[in-house]
Amino acid sequence: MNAKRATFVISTLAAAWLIDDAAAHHSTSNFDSSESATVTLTGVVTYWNFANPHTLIDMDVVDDDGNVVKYKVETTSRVALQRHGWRPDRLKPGDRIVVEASPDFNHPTEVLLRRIVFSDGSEWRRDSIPL
Amino acid sequence: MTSAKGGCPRRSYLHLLATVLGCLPISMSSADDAPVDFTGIWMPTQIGPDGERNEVFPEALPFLPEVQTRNEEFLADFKHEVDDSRRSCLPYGMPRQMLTVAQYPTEIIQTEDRITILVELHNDVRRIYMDGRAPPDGLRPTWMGYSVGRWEGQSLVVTTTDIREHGLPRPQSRELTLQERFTLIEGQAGPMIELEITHEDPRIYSRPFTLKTYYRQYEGLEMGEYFCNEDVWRLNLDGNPSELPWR
Repeated sequence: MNAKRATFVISTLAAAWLIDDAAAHHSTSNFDSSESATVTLTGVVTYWNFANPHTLIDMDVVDDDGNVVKYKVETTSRVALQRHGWRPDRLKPGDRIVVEASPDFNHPTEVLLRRIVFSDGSEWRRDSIPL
Repeated sequence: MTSAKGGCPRRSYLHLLATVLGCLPISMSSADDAPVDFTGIWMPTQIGPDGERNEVFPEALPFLPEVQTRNEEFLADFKHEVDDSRRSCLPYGMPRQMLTVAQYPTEIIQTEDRITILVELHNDVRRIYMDGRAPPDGLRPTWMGYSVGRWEGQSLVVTTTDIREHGLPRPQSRELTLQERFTLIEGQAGPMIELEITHEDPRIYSRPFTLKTYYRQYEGLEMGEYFCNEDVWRLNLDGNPSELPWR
């Protein structure tokens, strides 16, 4: 795969929630939670599924060669996100977003959300959920 | 002999005493008699009463050597897509249900002879019988097991048996017995439940061990609905469009 328009960010986020296997409906150990592996993706939402157990965001990212790469961004459940202000209209196809995420070890276009910047400039961080 | 549920003794050398003192129920807890009322909605937390991070799991659990070896082999060959039964939306079961993280609250409803625990994660229910009964013989193991409780001072002590065996996230056999101790304490953020869970599983572990976790309250916290297989059908909030005839 060609290089994407992505940057690797050294994050100082505490990643304990990624280690605890009770944090998700299924284990998140398939994602590389190391800070050096964190990717930053800028792209456009094509679809999002605000649901339990996982909310999924499909986004198109244009790589350095001008190719559209389709990413699947996974985050936590709707019921948990709602307690942190998410609503069904938080995202819609066409929204331009920035995502920091941990890639799957075997499927690098499947990523686990760490931080998102919405089209209105607001942001949400996964570690904003109290421990 | 006075039954565990109360009632007057008959033809007992205690008859006269009972007549004088009235019929005193024994081994029966009631909401009115309970020293503590845990009723409320509680969120599990990894932050202890002192504001510091509480590590629920020790670095190493006391597996029997043969279990340790086989577990390592099992995990080395584990394939999430094929082998991870947790992806099936089945319950977490005991004790894992009580060891979740701070996303999914738990509601405790304390009534006269039962304490009912509702867990948002997977919409699960536990029933703790407080009427002094013993677990029935020959039960088929269940995800939540069979729980009986009693008061010890200010603490609720719950014994759970007949729990399904698991391989993930940690091995547990049908011989597992859990003893939980719920204690209401005051933390930096307000009232908390300190929950100690003692595992005794001679098929898996070389000795009993105890894990400790905490629950806290948040103003306005409510229980939500969590059906974990919603996204399989893309039900989302609006239902599956293909099955809605007016769409």
